[in-house]
Amino acid sequence: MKHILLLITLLIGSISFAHAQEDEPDPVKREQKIKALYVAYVTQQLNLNETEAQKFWPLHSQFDGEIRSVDHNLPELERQQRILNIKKSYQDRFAKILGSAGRTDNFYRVDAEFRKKMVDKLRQLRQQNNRNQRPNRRN
Amino acid sequence: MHSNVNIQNELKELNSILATVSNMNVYTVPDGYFDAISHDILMAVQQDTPQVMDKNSVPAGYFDGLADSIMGKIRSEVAEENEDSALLAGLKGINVYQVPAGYFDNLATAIIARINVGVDEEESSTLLDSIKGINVYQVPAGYFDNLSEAIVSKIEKPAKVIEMKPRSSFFRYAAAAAITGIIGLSVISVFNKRDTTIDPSLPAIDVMAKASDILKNNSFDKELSTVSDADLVNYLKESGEDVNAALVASVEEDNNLPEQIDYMTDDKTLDNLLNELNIAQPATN
Repeated sequence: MKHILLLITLLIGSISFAHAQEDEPDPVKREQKIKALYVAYVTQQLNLNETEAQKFWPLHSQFDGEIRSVDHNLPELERQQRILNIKKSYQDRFAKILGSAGRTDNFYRVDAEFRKKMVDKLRQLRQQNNRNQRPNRRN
Repeated sequence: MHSNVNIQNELKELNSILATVSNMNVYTVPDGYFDAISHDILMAVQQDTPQVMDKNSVPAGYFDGLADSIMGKIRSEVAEENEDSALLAGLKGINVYQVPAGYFDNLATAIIARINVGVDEEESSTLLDSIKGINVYQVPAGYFDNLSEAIVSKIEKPAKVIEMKPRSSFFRYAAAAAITGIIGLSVISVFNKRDTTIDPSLPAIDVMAKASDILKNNSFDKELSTVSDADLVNYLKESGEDVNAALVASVEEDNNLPEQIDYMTDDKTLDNLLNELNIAQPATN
Protein backbone atom coordinates (compact mmCIF):
# COMPACT_ATOMS: atom_id res chain seq x y z
CA MET A 1 0.00 0.00 0.00
CA LYS A 2 2.78 2.26 0.98
CA HIS A 3 4.59 1.52 -2.26
CA ILE A 4 1.51 2.16 -4.33
CA LEU A 5 1.07 5.53 -2.65
CA LEU A 6 4.70 6.28 -3.27
CA LEU A 7 4.38 5.34 -6.92
CA ILE A 8 1.28 7.47 -7.36
CA THR A 9 3.01 10.40 -5.71
CA LEU A 10 6.01 10.02 -7.97
CA LEU A 11 3.81 9.72 -11.03
CA ILE A 12 1.86 12.86 -10.20
CA GLY A 13 5.11 14.60 -9.41
CA SER A 14 6.64 13.64 -12.72
CA ILE A 15 3.55 14.74 -14.64
CA SER A 16 3.48 18.13 -12.95
CA PHE A 17 7.23 18.34 -13.55
CA ALA A 18 6.60 17.66 -17.22
CA HIS A 19 3.97 20.38 -17.27
CA ALA A 20 6.31 22.78 -15.52
CA GLN A 21 8.92 21.96 -18.14
CA GLU A 22 6.33 22.74 -20.76
CA ASP A 23 5.88 26.26 -19.37
CA GLU A 24 9.58 26.68 -18.77
CA PRO A 25 11.70 28.71 -21.18
CA ASP A 26 10.44 27.53 -24.52
CA PRO A 27 11.44 30.06 -27.20
CA VAL A 28 8.62 28.99 -29.48
CA LYS A 29 6.00 29.47 -26.78
CA ARG A 30 7.36 32.81 -25.67
CA GLU A 31 7.51 34.07 -29.21
CA GLN A 32 3.95 32.89 -29.69
CA LYS A 33 2.87 35.07 -26.79
CA ILE A 34 4.08 38.26 -28.49
CA LYS A 35 2.65 37.08 -31.78
CA ALA A 36 -0.69 36.56 -30.06
CA LEU A 37 -0.46 40.08 -28.68
CA TYR A 38 0.24 41.31 -32.20
CA VAL A 39 -2.73 39.44 -33.68
CA ALA A 40 -5.00 40.73 -30.93
CA TYR A 41 -3.74 44.30 -31.39
CA VAL A 42 -4.09 44.34 -35.18
CA THR A 43 -7.49 42.63 -35.10
CA GLN A 44 -8.75 45.22 -32.64
CA GLN A 45 -7.25 48.23 -34.37
CA LEU A 46 -8.45 47.22 -37.83
CA ASN A 47 -11.80 45.97 -36.54
CA LEU A 48 -11.38 42.72 -38.43
CA ASN A 49 -14.48 40.57 -38.55
CA GLU A 50 -14.28 36.80 -38.58
CA THR A 51 -14.41 36.30 -42.35
CA GLU A 52 -11.79 39.02 -42.89
CA ALA A 53 -9.55 37.52 -40.22
CA GLN A 54 -9.83 34.04 -41.78
CA LYS A 55 -8.45 35.41 -45.05
CA PHE A 56 -6.19 38.09 -43.63
CA TRP A 57 -4.03 36.09 -41.21
CA PRO A 58 -2.90 33.37 -43.64
CA LEU A 59 -1.83 36.11 -46.07
CA HIS A 60 -0.20 38.01 -43.23
CA SER A 61 1.69 34.88 -42.27
CA GLN A 62 3.15 34.70 -45.74
CA PHE A 63 3.95 38.41 -45.62
CA ASP A 64 5.60 38.08 -42.22
CA GLY A 65 7.72 35.20 -43.47
CA GLU A 66 9.06 37.29 -46.31
CA ILE A 67 9.85 40.25 -44.05
CA ARG A 68 11.74 37.97 -41.67
CA SER A 69 13.70 36.42 -44.50
CA VAL A 70 15.37 39.74 -45.31
CA ASP A 71 19.04 39.48 -44.43
CA HIS A 72 19.80 41.35 -41.21
CA ASN A 73 23.38 41.98 -42.26
CA LEU A 74 22.48 43.97 -45.34
CA PRO A 75 23.32 47.69 -45.31
CA GLU A 76 20.59 49.38 -43.35
CA LEU A 77 19.07 51.32 -46.24
CA GLU A 78 19.20 48.30 -48.49
CA ARG A 79 17.51 46.24 -45.78
CA GLN A 80 14.79 48.85 -45.27
CA GLN A 81 14.31 49.09 -49.04
CA ARG A 82 13.72 45.38 -49.32
CA ILE A 83 11.21 45.46 -46.47
CA LEU A 84 9.46 48.35 -48.10
CA ASN A 85 9.32 46.49 -51.42
CA ILE A 86 7.70 43.52 -49.72
CA LYS A 87 5.16 45.76 -48.04
CA LYS A 88 4.34 47.38 -51.39
CA SER A 89 4.02 44.03 -53.11
CA TYR A 90 1.44 42.92 -50.55
CA GLN A 91 -0.53 46.17 -50.62
CA ASP A 92 -3.00 45.07 -53.30
CA ARG A 93 -3.57 41.67 -51.81
CA PHE A 94 -4.23 43.14 -48.35
CA ALA A 95 -6.54 45.71 -49.94
CA LYS A 96 -8.53 42.90 -51.55
CA ILE A 97 -9.21 41.35 -48.17
CA LEU A 98 -9.58 44.53 -46.16
CA GLY A 99 -11.80 46.18 -48.78
CA SER A 100 -10.01 49.48 -49.23
CA ALA A 101 -6.57 50.99 -49.74
CA GLY A 102 -7.18 53.17 -46.70
CA ARG A 103 -7.62 50.18 -44.46
CA THR A 104 -4.48 48.59 -45.86
CA ASP A 105 -2.63 51.78 -45.17
CA ASN A 106 -3.99 51.61 -41.69
CA PHE A 107 -2.69 48.06 -41.32
CA TYR A 108 0.89 49.15 -42.10
CA ARG A 109 0.51 51.92 -39.56
CA VAL A 110 -0.85 49.60 -36.88
CA ASP A 111 1.88 47.09 -37.67
CA ALA A 112 4.54 49.74 -37.01
CA GLU A 113 2.68 50.93 -33.92
CA PHE A 114 2.79 47.51 -32.41
CA ARG A 115 6.55 47.25 -32.87
CA LYS A 116 6.91 50.70 -31.33
CA LYS A 117 4.82 49.54 -28.39
CA MET A 118 7.18 46.64 -27.95
CA VAL A 119 10.18 48.95 -28.11
CA ASP A 120 8.55 51.20 -25.53
CA LYS A 121 7.89 48.22 -23.34
CA LEU A 122 11.50 47.16 -23.65
CA ARG A 123 12.70 50.65 -22.78
CA GLN A 124 10.42 50.78 -19.75
CA LEU A 125 11.64 47.41 -18.59
CA ARG A 126 15.27 48.42 -18.88
CA GLN A 127 14.84 51.86 -17.32
CA GLN A 128 12.90 50.45 -14.40
CA ASN A 129 15.44 47.74 -13.91
CA ASN A 130 18.43 50.03 -14.11
CA ARG A 131 16.98 52.87 -12.03
CA ASN A 132 16.44 50.39 -9.26
CA GLN A 133 20.01 49.30 -9.53
CA ARG A 134 21.69 52.67 -10.23
CA PRO A 135 22.25 53.83 -6.62
CA ASN A 136 24.26 50.70 -5.98
CA ARG A 137 26.24 51.17 -9.15
CA ARG A 138 27.12 54.78 -8.43
CA ASN A 139 28.28 54.03 -4.94
CA MET B 1 -97.85 -71.20 9.13
CA HIS B 2 -100.12 -69.15 6.90
CA SER B 3 -100.42 -70.36 3.37
CA ASN B 4 -100.05 -67.68 0.87
CA VAL B 5 -101.30 -68.24 -2.64
CA ASN B 6 -98.83 -65.90 -4.17
CA ILE B 7 -95.93 -67.45 -2.37
CA GLN B 8 -97.11 -70.93 -3.29
CA ASN B 9 -97.42 -69.96 -6.93
CA GLU B 10 -94.02 -68.43 -6.91
CA LEU B 11 -92.58 -71.50 -5.24
CA LYS B 12 -94.22 -73.71 -7.83
CA GLU B 13 -92.48 -71.75 -10.55
CA LEU B 14 -89.15 -72.13 -8.83
CA ASN B 15 -89.43 -75.71 -7.63
CA SER B 16 -92.55 -77.74 -8.30
CA ILE B 17 -91.48 -80.65 -6.05
CA LEU B 18 -90.90 -78.46 -3.05
CA ALA B 19 -94.26 -76.86 -3.60
CA THR B 20 -96.00 -80.18 -3.18
CA VAL B 21 -94.55 -80.72 0.29
CA SER B 22 -97.11 -79.82 2.83
CA ASN B 23 -96.16 -77.31 5.41
CA MET B 24 -95.95 -79.60 8.37
CA ASN B 25 -93.07 -80.13 10.82
CA VAL B 26 -91.08 -83.04 9.55
CA TYR B 27 -88.50 -82.92 12.35
CA THR B 28 -90.59 -84.48 15.01
CA VAL B 29 -89.16 -86.82 17.66
CA PRO B 30 -91.00 -89.34 19.81
CA ASP B 31 -92.30 -88.15 23.18
CA GLY B 32 -89.69 -88.17 25.93
CA TYR B 33 -86.89 -88.53 23.33
CA PHE B 34 -84.73 -85.93 24.96
CA ASP B 35 -85.33 -87.23 28.49
CA ALA B 36 -83.25 -90.32 27.97
CA ILE B 37 -80.95 -89.08 25.21
CA SER B 38 -77.93 -88.19 27.37
CA HIS B 39 -78.09 -91.56 29.02
CA ASP B 40 -78.40 -93.34 25.72
CA ILE B 41 -75.42 -91.46 24.26
CA LEU B 42 -73.20 -92.24 27.23
CA MET B 43 -74.16 -95.88 27.02
CA ALA B 44 -73.41 -95.97 23.31
CA VAL B 45 -69.99 -94.41 23.86
CA GLN B 46 -69.10 -96.89 26.57
CA GLN B 47 -70.14 -99.79 24.33
CA ASP B 48 -68.28 -98.53 21.20
CA THR B 49 -64.85 -97.80 22.78
CA PRO B 50 -63.52 -101.43 22.86
CA GLN B 51 -64.63 -101.89 19.28
CA VAL B 52 -62.54 -98.91 18.13
CA MET B 53 -59.44 -100.26 19.93
CA ASP B 54 -59.93 -103.58 18.21
CA LYS B 55 -59.98 -101.93 14.77
CA ASN B 56 -56.48 -100.52 15.31
CA SER B 57 -55.02 -103.79 16.38
CA VAL B 58 -53.09 -106.01 13.94
CA PRO B 59 -52.95 -109.79 13.70
CA ALA B 60 -50.18 -111.45 15.68
CA GLY B 61 -46.90 -111.70 13.66
CA TYR B 62 -48.22 -109.02 11.24
CA PHE B 63 -44.91 -107.03 11.24
CA ASP B 64 -42.68 -110.07 10.90
CA GLY B 65 -43.06 -110.44 7.15
CA LEU B 66 -44.18 -106.90 6.40
CA ALA B 67 -40.83 -105.50 5.07
CA ASP B 68 -40.26 -108.48 2.82
CA SER B 69 -43.73 -108.33 1.43
CA ILE B 70 -43.42 -104.57 0.73
CA MET B 71 -40.03 -104.93 -0.97
CA GLY B 72 -41.38 -107.90 -2.96
CA LYS B 73 -44.27 -105.75 -4.16
CA ILE B 74 -41.95 -102.87 -5.07
CA ARG B 75 -39.52 -105.11 -6.92
CA SER B 76 -42.20 -106.77 -8.86
CA GLU B 77 -43.65 -103.41 -9.92
CA VAL B 78 -40.19 -101.91 -10.72
CA ALA B 79 -39.28 -104.94 -12.78
CA GLU B 80 -42.45 -104.45 -14.78
CA GLU B 81 -41.62 -100.79 -15.42
CA ASN B 82 -37.94 -101.45 -16.28
CA GLU B 83 -38.79 -103.92 -18.89
CA ASP B 84 -39.82 -100.99 -21.12
CA SER B 85 -36.40 -99.08 -20.94
CA ALA B 86 -33.53 -100.67 -22.90
CA LEU B 87 -30.99 -98.23 -21.52
CA LEU B 88 -31.94 -98.88 -17.96
CA ALA B 89 -32.21 -102.57 -18.71
CA GLY B 90 -28.53 -102.57 -19.67
CA LEU B 91 -27.64 -100.98 -16.40
CA LYS B 92 -29.81 -103.24 -14.43
CA GLY B 93 -27.97 -104.64 -11.50
CA ILE B 94 -24.81 -102.68 -12.22
CA ASN B 95 -23.49 -100.14 -9.73
CA VAL B 96 -22.88 -97.16 -11.98
CA TYR B 97 -21.35 -95.13 -9.22
CA GLN B 98 -18.34 -97.25 -8.78
CA VAL B 99 -14.71 -95.99 -9.17
CA PRO B 100 -11.52 -97.91 -9.84
CA ALA B 101 -9.78 -99.36 -6.88
CA GLY B 102 -7.60 -96.76 -5.10
CA TYR B 103 -9.26 -93.98 -7.06
CA PHE B 104 -9.44 -91.60 -4.16
CA ASP B 105 -5.92 -92.39 -3.02
CA ASN B 106 -4.33 -90.36 -5.79
CA LEU B 107 -7.21 -88.07 -6.58
CA ALA B 108 -5.84 -84.94 -4.84
CA THR B 109 -2.45 -85.34 -6.45
CA ALA B 110 -4.03 -85.90 -9.84
CA ILE B 111 -6.19 -82.75 -9.52
CA ILE B 112 -3.26 -80.61 -8.46
CA ALA B 113 -1.20 -82.03 -11.34
CA ARG B 114 -3.95 -81.17 -13.81
CA ILE B 115 -4.27 -77.64 -12.40
CA ASN B 116 -0.52 -77.15 -12.68
CA VAL B 117 -0.54 -78.29 -16.28
CA GLY B 118 -3.31 -75.81 -17.08
CA VAL B 119 -1.47 -72.98 -15.33
CA ASP B 120 1.73 -73.76 -17.21
CA GLU B 121 -0.10 -73.61 -20.50
CA GLU B 122 -1.71 -70.26 -19.71
CA GLU B 123 1.36 -68.54 -18.33
CA SER B 124 3.58 -69.16 -21.26
CA SER B 125 4.59 -65.47 -21.69
CA THR B 126 8.33 -64.93 -21.95
CA LEU B 127 8.26 -62.26 -19.31
CA LEU B 128 6.73 -64.52 -16.76
CA ASP B 129 8.86 -67.44 -17.94
CA SER B 130 11.96 -65.48 -17.11
CA ILE B 131 10.90 -65.06 -13.55
CA LYS B 132 9.46 -68.49 -13.28
CA GLY B 133 10.33 -69.99 -10.02
CA ILE B 134 11.85 -66.79 -8.74
CA ASN B 135 10.34 -65.02 -5.80
CA VAL B 136 9.88 -61.61 -7.26
CA TYR B 137 8.71 -60.22 -4.01
CA GLN B 138 11.97 -60.56 -2.27
CA VAL B 139 13.97 -57.58 -1.03
CA PRO B 140 17.60 -57.27 -0.08
CA ALA B 141 18.49 -58.29 3.40
CA GLY B 142 17.80 -55.50 5.86
CA TYR B 143 15.75 -53.60 3.31
CA PHE B 144 13.06 -52.63 5.74
CA ASP B 145 15.53 -51.68 8.44
CA ASN B 146 16.42 -48.40 6.76
CA LEU B 147 13.36 -48.01 4.55
CA SER B 148 11.52 -45.40 6.62
CA GLU B 149 14.64 -43.30 6.98
CA ALA B 150 15.31 -43.49 3.26
CA ILE B 151 11.77 -42.41 2.44
CA VAL B 152 11.81 -39.58 4.93
CA SER B 153 15.16 -38.39 3.64
CA LYS B 154 13.80 -38.34 0.09
CA ILE B 155 10.63 -36.52 1.07
CA GLU B 156 12.39 -33.95 3.17
CA LYS B 157 14.98 -33.20 0.56
CA PRO B 158 14.53 -29.45 0.39
CA ALA B 159 13.72 -27.87 -2.96
CA LYS B 160 16.35 -25.65 -4.44
CA VAL B 161 15.82 -22.36 -2.74
CA ILE B 162 16.57 -19.30 -4.78
CA GLU B 163 17.38 -16.67 -2.32
CA MET B 164 15.81 -13.31 -2.93
CA LYS B 165 18.15 -10.76 -1.62
CA PRO B 166 16.24 -8.15 0.23
CA ARG B 167 16.29 -5.15 -2.00
CA SER B 168 17.01 -1.97 -0.31
CA SER B 169 14.29 0.63 -0.48
CA PHE B 170 16.75 2.88 -2.28
CA PHE B 171 16.69 0.65 -5.36
CA ARG B 172 12.93 0.50 -5.25
CA TYR B 173 12.69 4.27 -5.16
CA ALA B 174 15.34 4.56 -7.83
CA ALA B 175 13.40 2.17 -10.08
CA ALA B 176 10.17 4.08 -9.49
CA ALA B 177 11.93 7.36 -10.16
CA ALA B 178 13.47 5.98 -13.35
CA ILE B 179 10.13 4.76 -14.64
CA THR B 180 8.33 7.97 -13.82
CA GLY B 181 11.22 9.93 -15.27
CA ILE B 182 10.91 8.05 -18.53
CA ILE B 183 7.18 8.74 -18.58
CA GLY B 184 7.79 12.40 -17.85
CA LEU B 185 10.46 12.75 -20.51
CA SER B 186 8.31 11.02 -23.09
CA VAL B 187 5.47 13.41 -22.29
CA ILE B 188 7.84 16.37 -22.70
CA SER B 189 9.22 15.02 -25.95
CA VAL B 190 5.70 14.51 -27.29
CA PHE B 191 4.78 18.10 -26.44
CA ASN B 192 8.00 19.45 -27.89
CA LYS B 193 7.55 17.48 -31.07
CA ARG B 194 4.04 18.77 -31.45
CA ASP B 195 5.23 22.35 -31.05
CA THR B 196 8.06 22.06 -33.52
CA THR B 197 5.96 20.33 -36.14
CA ILE B 198 3.86 23.45 -36.57
CA ASP B 199 4.78 25.14 -39.79
CA PRO B 200 6.19 28.49 -38.70
CA SER B 201 4.96 30.14 -41.88
CA LEU B 202 1.35 29.49 -40.92
CA PRO B 203 -0.35 31.32 -38.09
CA ALA B 204 -0.22 28.72 -35.34
CA ILE B 205 -3.55 27.68 -33.95
CA ASP B 206 -2.16 28.39 -30.49
CA VAL B 207 -1.38 31.96 -31.46
CA MET B 208 -4.84 32.58 -32.85
CA ALA B 209 -6.47 30.98 -29.82
CA LYS B 210 -4.40 33.08 -27.45
CA ALA B 211 -5.11 36.23 -29.45
CA SER B 212 -8.81 35.42 -29.25
CA ASP B 213 -8.50 35.04 -25.48
CA ILE B 214 -6.68 38.35 -25.16
CA LEU B 215 -9.40 40.13 -27.13
CA LYS B 216 -12.17 38.42 -25.21
CA ASN B 217 -10.66 39.20 -21.82
CA ASN B 218 -9.31 42.60 -22.88
CA SER B 219 -6.07 41.49 -21.27
CA PHE B 220 -3.60 43.06 -23.70
CA ASP B 221 -1.76 45.13 -21.08
CA LYS B 222 -1.76 42.31 -18.58
CA GLU B 223 -0.24 39.88 -21.07
CA LEU B 224 2.25 42.49 -22.24
CA SER B 225 3.47 43.00 -18.66
CA THR B 226 4.53 39.34 -18.52
CA VAL B 227 6.75 39.59 -21.60
CA SER B 228 10.44 39.56 -20.82
CA ASP B 229 13.30 41.73 -22.11
CA ALA B 230 14.84 38.89 -24.08
CA ASP B 231 11.53 37.97 -25.70
CA LEU B 232 11.01 41.55 -26.84
CA VAL B 233 14.55 41.82 -28.22
CA ASN B 234 14.12 38.54 -30.07
CA TYR B 235 10.81 39.55 -31.51
CA LEU B 236 12.02 42.97 -32.64
CA LYS B 237 15.16 41.55 -34.21
CA GLU B 238 13.10 38.93 -36.02
CA SER B 239 10.83 41.67 -37.30
CA GLY B 240 13.86 43.44 -38.79
CA GLU B 241 14.04 46.15 -36.15
CA ASP B 242 17.29 47.81 -35.06
CA VAL B 243 16.61 47.39 -31.37
CA ASN B 244 19.11 49.93 -30.03
CA ALA B 245 18.16 52.61 -32.53
CA ALA B 246 14.53 51.95 -31.82
CA LEU B 247 15.18 52.28 -28.09
CA VAL B 248 16.84 55.63 -28.47
CA ALA B 249 14.06 56.75 -30.75
CA SER B 250 11.60 55.59 -28.15
CA VAL B 251 13.27 57.70 -25.48
CA GLU B 252 13.26 60.68 -27.78
CA GLU B 253 9.60 60.33 -28.65
CA ASP B 254 8.72 59.91 -25.04
CA ASN B 255 10.33 63.28 -24.30
CA ASN B 256 12.40 61.37 -21.88
CA LEU B 257 15.74 62.60 -23.13
CA PRO B 258 17.93 64.38 -20.62
CA GLU B 259 17.63 68.15 -20.52
CA GLN B 260 20.48 70.23 -21.86
CA ILE B 261 21.42 71.23 -18.34
CA ASP B 262 21.87 67.60 -17.37
CA TYR B 263 24.68 67.22 -19.87
CA MET B 264 26.40 70.28 -18.35
CA THR B 265 26.12 69.16 -14.76
CA ASP B 266 27.04 65.56 -15.41
CA ASP B 267 29.28 64.60 -18.32
CA LYS B 268 28.15 61.04 -17.94
CA THR B 269 24.53 61.88 -18.64
CA LEU B 270 24.64 60.30 -22.10
CA ASP B 271 26.46 57.26 -20.83
CA ASN B 272 23.91 56.98 -18.09
CA LEU B 273 21.10 57.13 -20.58
CA LEU B 274 22.68 54.51 -22.77
CA ASN B 275 23.44 52.39 -19.77
CA GLU B 276 19.88 52.81 -18.68
CA LEU B 277 18.79 51.39 -21.99
CA ASN B 278 21.49 48.72 -21.89
CA ILE B 279 23.06 50.16 -24.98
CA ALA B 280 26.70 50.16 -23.95
CA GLN B 281 28.00 49.71 -27.45
CA PRO B 282 25.50 51.10 -29.91
CA ALA B 283 27.60 50.08 -32.88
CA THR B 284 27.41 46.39 -32.16
CA ASN B 285 23.89 45.99 -33.29
